[in-house]
Amino acid sequence: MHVTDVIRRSGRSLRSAKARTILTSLAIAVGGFTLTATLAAGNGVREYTNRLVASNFDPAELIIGRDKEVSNTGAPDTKPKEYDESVASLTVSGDGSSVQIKQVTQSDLDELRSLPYIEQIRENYQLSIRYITRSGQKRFTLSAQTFNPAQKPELKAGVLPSSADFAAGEIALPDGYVSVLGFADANEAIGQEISLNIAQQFNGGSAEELLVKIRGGQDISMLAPAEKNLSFKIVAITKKAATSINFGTLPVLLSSQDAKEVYDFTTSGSANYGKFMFVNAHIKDGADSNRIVEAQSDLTARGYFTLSSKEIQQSITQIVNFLQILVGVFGLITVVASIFGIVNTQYISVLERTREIGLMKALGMRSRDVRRLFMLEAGWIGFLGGVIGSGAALIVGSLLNPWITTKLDLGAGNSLLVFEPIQIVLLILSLVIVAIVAGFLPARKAAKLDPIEALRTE
Amino acid sequence: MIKVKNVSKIYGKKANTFRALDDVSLEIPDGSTVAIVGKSGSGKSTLMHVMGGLDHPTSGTVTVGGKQLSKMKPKVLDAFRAGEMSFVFQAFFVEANQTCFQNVMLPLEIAEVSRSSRAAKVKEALAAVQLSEKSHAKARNLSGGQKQRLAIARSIVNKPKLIFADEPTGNLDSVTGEAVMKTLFDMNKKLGSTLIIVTHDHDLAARCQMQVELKDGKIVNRKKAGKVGKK
Repeated sequence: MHVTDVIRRSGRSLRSAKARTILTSLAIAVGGFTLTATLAAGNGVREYTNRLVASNFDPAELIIGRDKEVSNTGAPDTKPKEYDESVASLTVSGDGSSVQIKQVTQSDLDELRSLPYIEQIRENYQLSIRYITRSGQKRFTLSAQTFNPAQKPELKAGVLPSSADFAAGEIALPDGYVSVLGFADANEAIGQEISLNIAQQFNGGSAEELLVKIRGGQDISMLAPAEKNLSFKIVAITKKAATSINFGTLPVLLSSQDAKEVYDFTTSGSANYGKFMFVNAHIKDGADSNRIVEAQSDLTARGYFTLSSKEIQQSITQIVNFLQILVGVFGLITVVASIFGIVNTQYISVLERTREIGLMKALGMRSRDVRRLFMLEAGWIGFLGGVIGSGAALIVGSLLNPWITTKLDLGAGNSLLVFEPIQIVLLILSLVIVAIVAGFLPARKAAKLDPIEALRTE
Repeated sequence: MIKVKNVSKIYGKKANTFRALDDVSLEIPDGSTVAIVGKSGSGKSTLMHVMGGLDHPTSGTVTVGGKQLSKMKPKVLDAFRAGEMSFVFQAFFVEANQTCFQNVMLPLEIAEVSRSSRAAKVKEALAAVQLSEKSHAKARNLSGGQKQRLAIARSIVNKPKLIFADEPTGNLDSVTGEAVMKTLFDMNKKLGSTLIIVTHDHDLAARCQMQVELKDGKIVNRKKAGKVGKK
């Protein structure tokens, strides 16, 4: 018997037991649904991650630190570290525990700047600004960052410099400050002046020294930390981008020149002045990933810790893959459970159709073809289940995608569930194969039936 | 020509043996009509199964068209049955959920007849049993007589050399049974197929050219009506 005839006949016999067929295939459809949704979610998260990394990290840049703790992956190194002026203690959790991190020092920076493959170093200035205000308005707290050209914040008004830096005295302000600083709207704020207040750290020496000075009748008012108001012109109003990895307050963005001024003024004389957790280095011809890898191996040999945008992406992708496998395993368990349903259904089918099998064998149908007939019948059930499951996932996914995008704040154009036709086709195909394998035992029973016995059944 | 030579068939083992056929020898010329009669349990169905290659004799040989069935490999025997034999049963065994057309198609699919010639053959077979207009009706909607005619159409569609009919009228009333028998005898004349009928109806047996009566697995009576067969 030709395979096409067997396929047609097996499909036809399923149609004559519709309810049973559909119920059995629904079991496999649950697995198909889960697996399709898992695959789609994996695609979506990976796509989103790629966009996230691409819009936050310049692939030509390397993050360079002195300590692998900077990347904060895995359990922190709790071994005591030998004292070194460059080690800073960093509180990492609410219970007060901390990690010690070896920082990048000025001499490190000099070394890095001397390396031929490093084009430019951006220090990662910790900016502490006391408040932001505007004449006649209240004072507000804020966080501030150096403008990073790799990050493209979404704008409500104004423009960002296309590639280079802000000019000194220019500032980008988050939209939250527009109304509190008394602007009517974002557009009105553009070109207006605001001022930032920064203060020096108290630098008056130890308590004993101070006491000596006071007892000696010296005037100590000049020891009070100096403060300073810096004036800025607003060039852009930012809003939270869908692909921002900033989970706190949206920062005020300063030019690197202004950031350095703020940093110098506020931290000069303190223990950590001129030391950085990490710096960003722009690698020459860094668009070529080979240059990045070369630079990384050289920097590693020099005792630096490096992180490329590719590695950041990989570490996020790894987590996504792990979660996907976890959910996928549940889907697979469902498929395994549905196998028993198929076996059961097919056994019943063989029993019901004993006479039909007997007749076919009497008419000269080969045992091999009888076995194929029943295995393909199981295959049809798998196909039906796969189509129902994947179809349902596709429909539910398409309906839920806009809602999920809003709920998770993914930003317009981003979907959590991304369906790849080729994946769905392969999934359905593998469900068919699983079902065919599941149909093997009942099919073998059918193939082994003795036609005389079978035809005797009344 | 079917030659059955010293065939015995024993079921069971040791103490519980049952001798269904006991040293049966028989020759059936091509194109003849043969009735195998006997009471139930006399071994007539077993004889049919052995001649049809569905069952193997414990001893003795069955030769059909010069080929010894027990020497054929299962694959070859299946192909031989698909190409040269067919069966009609008392309980019809038509697929209730399939159309008449699909029912009659089955032997052609099994025998791997070329796809292009199938439809014409099915139509011809349905026409021969006057079921043309029921071609697309489900077999479940047919009456008993129509079902048996459908089974006959299925048995003749591939123009077999040998048609076995096991109590073909057993489930039918006498008028319908008569019509079915007429159809079977017509096919025998038209196609020249050898027709072997297993029955306990002596009137029906009397219309065959040859009668073989079995009792307890042995041939107890042979009758020939006039000249037998073509050769």
